[in-house]
Amino acid sequence: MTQLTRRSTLQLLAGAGVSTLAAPHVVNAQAAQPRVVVIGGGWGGATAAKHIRLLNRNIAVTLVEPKAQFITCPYSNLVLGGWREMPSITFTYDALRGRHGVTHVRESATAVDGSAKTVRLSNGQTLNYDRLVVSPGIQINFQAIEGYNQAATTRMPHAWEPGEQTLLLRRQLLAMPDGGVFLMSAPPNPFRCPPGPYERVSMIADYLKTNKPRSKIVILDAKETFSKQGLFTQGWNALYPGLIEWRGRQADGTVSRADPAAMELETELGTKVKGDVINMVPPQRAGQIAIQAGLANQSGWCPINASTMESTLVRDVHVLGDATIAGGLPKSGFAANSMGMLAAKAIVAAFAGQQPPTDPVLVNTCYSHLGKDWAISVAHVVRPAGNLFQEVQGSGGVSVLQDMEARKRESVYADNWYESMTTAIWKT
Amino acid sequence: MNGLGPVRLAHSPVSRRMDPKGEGNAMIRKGLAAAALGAVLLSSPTVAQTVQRGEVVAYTCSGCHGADYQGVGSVPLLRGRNADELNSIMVEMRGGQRYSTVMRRLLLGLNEDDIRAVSNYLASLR
Repeated sequence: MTQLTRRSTLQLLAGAGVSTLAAPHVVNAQAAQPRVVVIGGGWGGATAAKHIRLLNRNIAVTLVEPKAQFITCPYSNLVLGGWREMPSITFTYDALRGRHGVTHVRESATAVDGSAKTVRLSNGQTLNYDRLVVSPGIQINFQAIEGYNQAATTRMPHAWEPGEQTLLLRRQLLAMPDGGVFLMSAPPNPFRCPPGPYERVSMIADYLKTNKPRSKIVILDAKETFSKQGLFTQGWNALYPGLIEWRGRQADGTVSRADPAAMELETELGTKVKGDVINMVPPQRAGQIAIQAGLANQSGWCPINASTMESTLVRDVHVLGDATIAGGLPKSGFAANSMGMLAAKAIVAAFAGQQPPTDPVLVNTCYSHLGKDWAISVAHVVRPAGNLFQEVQGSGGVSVLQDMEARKRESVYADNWYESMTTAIWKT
Repeated sequence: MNGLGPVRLAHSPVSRRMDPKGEGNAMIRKGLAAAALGAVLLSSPTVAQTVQRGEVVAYTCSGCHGADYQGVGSVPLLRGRNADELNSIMVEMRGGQRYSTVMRRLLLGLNEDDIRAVSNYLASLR
């Protein structure tokens, strides 16, 4: 219905020898707004919703997001460390609604019918769409580690979806005795925010060094290596000598069982490790609505056409952010924002019968704070290559290890980046 | 507060810290002359085409430099600046002749045509 432009419809009517006055129902149909439904108001979804409206005010955009406010996962580690308070990482949808004319439906999406092009909501209503954007983030895979279920999250918070979990982990840290052990389990790839566990440990170490100096941090890691490892190790040695112990996969670091009652984790080889505070960062997969909609493959993540962010499995559905299989782009808020802008252009072009942007370039920069005046970064520059984003050869990479001047500069740039992107997405 | 001071390159093409000899003043004069030339060049179709391409590429800048390329904190303003000045700063950062933290790594992902295109686009914004 919305594929016909006003001009082509008029030409059609003229060719058929009828006047527009004689066929009011046709005129009404072709004058209807194209409809986009966006599921998820995070870094990808909110960006897409805003940019579609910026590019074409004639497209009706409905955001399906149950929450009134969005708490960002980036910078939630700073709340854990006591550097920030929750309100400073919490944003409303006022600008999206008031300034950009996005309709905010405060319900959960419970089902997508890709054939009928409908979204069912938690209140029983159904929304029709011409194009659907699904930006659902992650869900915790509670089947992955024995003993780690929903109930266990109160004893062993994951705090990987920010909010009450973040505050709970913070309270546990504050209550931990001096001389206690903060134990973290870090997941295998792929997962949301690859440097996140290590930034978190840095923030915890910053707090312990000042407040509980006899304490210790142990990381049990299912990986052999981790993001920005050389830079994190350098920073930990300089800022928190002897405080952080990292055990990778080859050092029996893979956790296979959790015992919340005993406050204990067990590794694949049967080693039991106790913690006074245990932060379980478990394996993850795409948000549930993506799985329900048939957008994910067997890996639990969603394959996409990287030129448009359109699902390779369901037509006219675009998937964004952490839920996607993106190749050279990591699961980060920055990457989701880049994807949101690309998808918006592709969707607006499609409604106009045009091609998506030619040879788009996408970037990602992930900053991590290690301590006061000490931050590091990893950058990616990618171009679409079929169903993945391919890194431009010779580009990107991590901060220069020897450039100590950069640590302070990047701690400032990190804050500037956060301010810039959260302002762009939620505040303006 | 952050010890680095704002790096508003519209008024000062390079920060004091990066430009201890104050060579930026000469760059401002050069920039003004180039701005006049740029205004003429903008009317040619070639520049118009690069502006179009530049708009596609410039989205990559908005994450840190602000949605309107207005600059945020120590991250410099880009919009409305002289195209040649922007181009030469980026080319020098890319080549490592000019100090940067993350910019060199990002610019290594762009070719010279894209750097020129994004410079022309950002210069065209008022």
